[in-house]
Amino acid sequence: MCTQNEIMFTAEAKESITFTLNNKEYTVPVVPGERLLDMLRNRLGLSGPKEGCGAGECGACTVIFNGINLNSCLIPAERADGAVITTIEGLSEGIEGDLDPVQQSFLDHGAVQCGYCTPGMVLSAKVFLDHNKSTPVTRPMIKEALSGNLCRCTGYQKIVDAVYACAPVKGDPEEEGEV
Amino acid sequence: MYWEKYYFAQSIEETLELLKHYEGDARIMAGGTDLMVQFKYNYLSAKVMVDIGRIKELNHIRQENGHVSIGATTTHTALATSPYLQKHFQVLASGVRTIGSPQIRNAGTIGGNVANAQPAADGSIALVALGATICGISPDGPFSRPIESTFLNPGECALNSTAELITSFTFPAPGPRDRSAFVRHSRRAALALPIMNMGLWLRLNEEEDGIEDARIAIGPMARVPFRAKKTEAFLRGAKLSEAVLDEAGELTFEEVSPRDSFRGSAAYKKELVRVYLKRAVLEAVGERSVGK
Amino acid sequence: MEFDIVGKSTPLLDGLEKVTGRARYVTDIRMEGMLHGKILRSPHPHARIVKIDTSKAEKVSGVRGIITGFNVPQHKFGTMLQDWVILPNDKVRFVGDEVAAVAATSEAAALEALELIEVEYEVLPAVFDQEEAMSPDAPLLYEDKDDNIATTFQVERGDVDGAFAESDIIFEDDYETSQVYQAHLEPMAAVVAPADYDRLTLWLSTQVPSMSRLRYAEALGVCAEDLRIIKPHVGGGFGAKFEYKSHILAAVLARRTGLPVRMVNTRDEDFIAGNPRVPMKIRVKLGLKKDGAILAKDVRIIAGNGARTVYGPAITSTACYRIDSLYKVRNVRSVGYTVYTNMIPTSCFRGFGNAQMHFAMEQALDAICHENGLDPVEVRRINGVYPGYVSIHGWEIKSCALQECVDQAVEASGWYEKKKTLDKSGAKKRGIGMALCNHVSGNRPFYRPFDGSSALVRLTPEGKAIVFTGEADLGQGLNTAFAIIAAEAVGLPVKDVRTAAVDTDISPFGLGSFATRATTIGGRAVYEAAVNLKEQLVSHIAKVYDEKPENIKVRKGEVALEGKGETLPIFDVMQKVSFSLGGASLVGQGSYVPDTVLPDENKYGNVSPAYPFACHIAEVEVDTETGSVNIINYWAAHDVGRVLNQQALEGQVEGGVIMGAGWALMEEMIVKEGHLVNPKLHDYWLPTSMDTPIGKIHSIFLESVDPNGPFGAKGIGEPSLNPVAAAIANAIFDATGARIKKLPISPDKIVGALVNKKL
Repeated sequence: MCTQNEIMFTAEAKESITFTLNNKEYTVPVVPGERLLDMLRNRLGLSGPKEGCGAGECGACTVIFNGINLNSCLIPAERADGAVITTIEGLSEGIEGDLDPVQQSFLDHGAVQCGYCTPGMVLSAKVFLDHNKSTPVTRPMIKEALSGNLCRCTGYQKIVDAVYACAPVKGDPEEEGEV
Repeated sequence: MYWEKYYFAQSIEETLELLKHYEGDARIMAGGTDLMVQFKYNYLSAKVMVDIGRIKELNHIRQENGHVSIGATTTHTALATSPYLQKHFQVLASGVRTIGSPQIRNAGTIGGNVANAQPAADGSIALVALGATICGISPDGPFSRPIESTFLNPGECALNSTAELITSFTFPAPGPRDRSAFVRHSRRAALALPIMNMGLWLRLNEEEDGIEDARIAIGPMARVPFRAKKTEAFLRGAKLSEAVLDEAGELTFEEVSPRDSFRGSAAYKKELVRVYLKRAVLEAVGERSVGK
Repeated sequence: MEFDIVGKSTPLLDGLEKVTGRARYVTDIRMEGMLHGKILRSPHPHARIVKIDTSKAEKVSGVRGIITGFNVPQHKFGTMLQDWVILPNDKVRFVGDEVAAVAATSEAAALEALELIEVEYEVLPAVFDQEEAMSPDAPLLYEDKDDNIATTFQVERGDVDGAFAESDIIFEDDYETSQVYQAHLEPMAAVVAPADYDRLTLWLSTQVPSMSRLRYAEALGVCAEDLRIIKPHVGGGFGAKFEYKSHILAAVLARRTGLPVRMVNTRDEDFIAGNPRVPMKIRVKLGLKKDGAILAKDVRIIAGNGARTVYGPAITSTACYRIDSLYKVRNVRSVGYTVYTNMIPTSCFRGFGNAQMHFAMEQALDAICHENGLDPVEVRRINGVYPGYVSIHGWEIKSCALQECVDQAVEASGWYEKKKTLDKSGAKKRGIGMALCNHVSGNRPFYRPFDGSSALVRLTPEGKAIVFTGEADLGQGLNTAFAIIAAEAVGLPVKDVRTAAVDTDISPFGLGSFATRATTIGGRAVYEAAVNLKEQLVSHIAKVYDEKPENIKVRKGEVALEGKGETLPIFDVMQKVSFSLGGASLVGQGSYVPDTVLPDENKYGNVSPAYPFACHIAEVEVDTETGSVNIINYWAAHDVGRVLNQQALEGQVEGGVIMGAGWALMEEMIVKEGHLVNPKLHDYWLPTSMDTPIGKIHSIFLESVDPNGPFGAKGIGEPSLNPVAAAIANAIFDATGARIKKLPISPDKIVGALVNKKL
């Protein structure tokens, strides 16, 4: 083991972090104690990730982080170092870009009302669909996948329909019978 | 401001060195789902965070030498979606599947779930039911001890998070007659702490018509995850039948003494325990195995 | 009548910016030099403020302003009663009451300053239950209210005692509804910035821009003209976002510091200091003939107002007598007390008192049917109102498809079959329940000076239209509904019409989104403005193209000059028309003043231009061992007058049903000694996607074509929620025999009722 005063670790607390956000590379200085959500909103000018609770209980701040959906209010900004992050702004390029099929489906199905939960909801849906490209998708699976994103307007039915419509392989019985 | 410095430890050794160097000012950060909330409400302050999320050996699910080992930073999602655990350790796979939400399960780790020492933490309840051993490392060297010894009080665990590190949880490899189940009751289907949760592990007798061994963990019934030892003792050697399960449920009802909370009264929690004990056994062994 | 746009599904016109994250809400506004405002809130339910010392807080680096009750004026103002002050210097009256506010250059600095403000309190005895607050020995919240009763509503008509004497069936029972939180995803928010001419600009997340402006002017001691209110996208309201204290505090701080101030509630603050639903204790007494015809109704309501008045009194009066326009009862007596307590001030929440009364009334009818062997469908049919009915209070039902709603819901749900066959054999039992509903589309007494709306529709030189309205879209799709109305009336494609964000410098005065009024009353004004625009357009085209007005047809963005046999794009036509007018846009102006009356001192008078109706049927499965309830399927048949936007209507119904299900089964603000125990979204159990029906919510729309609504449309916002809790309660009773009369119908109450002990 080490002797006194001898520092044995090689890790350094970084002064800046580099990451890919919405297909572009960023290097930004570390602000100690910052949440990823604050970095995205306050320093990088994004409005898509919303703060609904700041405690991981509503999903409005959801981002796609290395391919999975996370609440950005619970992620230290430092953890973005080396990560690939997608916010709702990254699903379609600027104002001119085509919408992601999930975004389009939300629009077409009336899955959007006030819109405050929508960015997070769309991103959770996107992750779910990305992970289930060849699995038969059912509505209960979608409901579970979206259960970390609260919506107070829609009652979720049209949201679930919108996501279901995007599933390449559909697993619900064709006939909508009574249960 | 939450912290001043944030380190990614590259190894277990480096984690210990960092903790040692900062002499109590450093805290381990794994998934962060609980710590970040504690910071938000000023329940916690620490100058230095040591992020252990990038230490590969802490993130694993493997079977070796007759034991299963689960790395401390394995996420709930990884556990819940593991085909191996789903097949052999239903109690753990479905237990962590009900934690919080997909986003929480994608970040939260089993080590963090245990270290938080909540009496109804789903991961803890499952691991207690499995009779898991907690393995870690402290400045004095590696340690391993029964997981139940970790829980002292709600939110208080026997580990010093400014000096010690949980590395893994181990429990015996699955036997052919081992069964398990996890049941949970909450006011809503997601994003809710349980009013009652229960992990059950059974070993059937050779004829598979009775129970050879049982372990039952229930939360939140005490200051720590509760072992229903009287019920376990009753079930050991019992034949599987409706009557036995009814009696077992009655025993569990008698041996828990939960407290009233806003999530549910003590009386209601006791009612739930009676119902769910039976349901857990039925789920573990399959309805058809139970004689009338 | 055939429509090009009305009745089809039009995706929200502002949906694109929402799915791309570009939509800006108040919480997204950032400005140069913007300060962050934070509020110090009372930790006590009732206490005298002895002293406030801000000296340490002022020294925090970055602090630019601190206000307390000792450095702001102490004049009284309010929404219904004059019981608001900017900040108090005498007492705090609930946990969360505003004590001081800080503006600082960062949120962290503002929070640090809050912690350093020293307040000396003398804790006073407090009262939390509205019924206890009426007792003579209860602590008083206000010196001038010696029984804590803020207001009393009373109405009596017909011969109530005589009708009870004639009744074959007399039923009496007590019901209790809960205080619940709107849980709009965007918290209460304001950004206030000093503007030219010594004015202030307020960006508010609000349902009532114009009314807020009047109230805040009163609070700040300025003219309404000195305030400019802008309402950008709003992240849900559901009744919560009316006049709000923090908006005023932000404005005071902006004036004091001369800088923009952002004041956004944390979720915890929203929980403890929002304006949740008025809790009510409701005693219902009904007298009926043998066949179930209701002869008499006697109601007593004790409602919790909380520590100051927002809209509690109006909500109580609504609970007292609005339902008298659902059933043809001619002998009624109601008394409603709105009582101060040391609890959070309560106010509007989708349903506005009528939802509370539906919970009581529709369960009472169900119980009466069960006890007397009557068919709940038939009893509702024989009592339900009809087109042309005038209620005992003078409310005039013009359009009404209530009976058809019942027919269709009963048929679609397979009601009679299910009544016989639903499985009740195991531990999990199924049941089916029904509840009817009525509501208003506008409520004349809400804002005493008037009800009505006005709108402008501007047609640009490119032939695109912009609707200007003071009515507030909160995300429910109002702006799209207005565009649909204008597009249909003018003859434009809906994509060429948009509705501008409310800006009181530009938009007409609009009362706002409440009382399910905005589509009906606001929409009718938009319709009138569009018709006016069209007249101008046709007369200008006639001039410019030398065509007879009767030969000019505008449809789908094309102008047919039938005399000339020519069809031109509106773009080309408007270029010519506009340039002939020096580049002018055409501006249609329209107003709608409903033919309603402010009820007199006896509460008599027709309050609304149109009344929507509905019949809901819930099918549930109850786990009788654990008390868990799953909704299996749900049918909601609504008389909406006219479908303007099929998809958006369904969205309102589905949202209202799930919100109602949350109220019925899950949601609860648990308060201990005035402290909210669960001010967290993970402990306040509003429904997640996994708490929705296992099957579906089936929306059914009936078009009774109201003579007053735009194209005949009536409102949907509140009716979609009103009957839900009762329908579910009735279904649970059908499944299990457990009748739960106090919300929420939580699993412990169900199990407790079944094993006959309190759990």
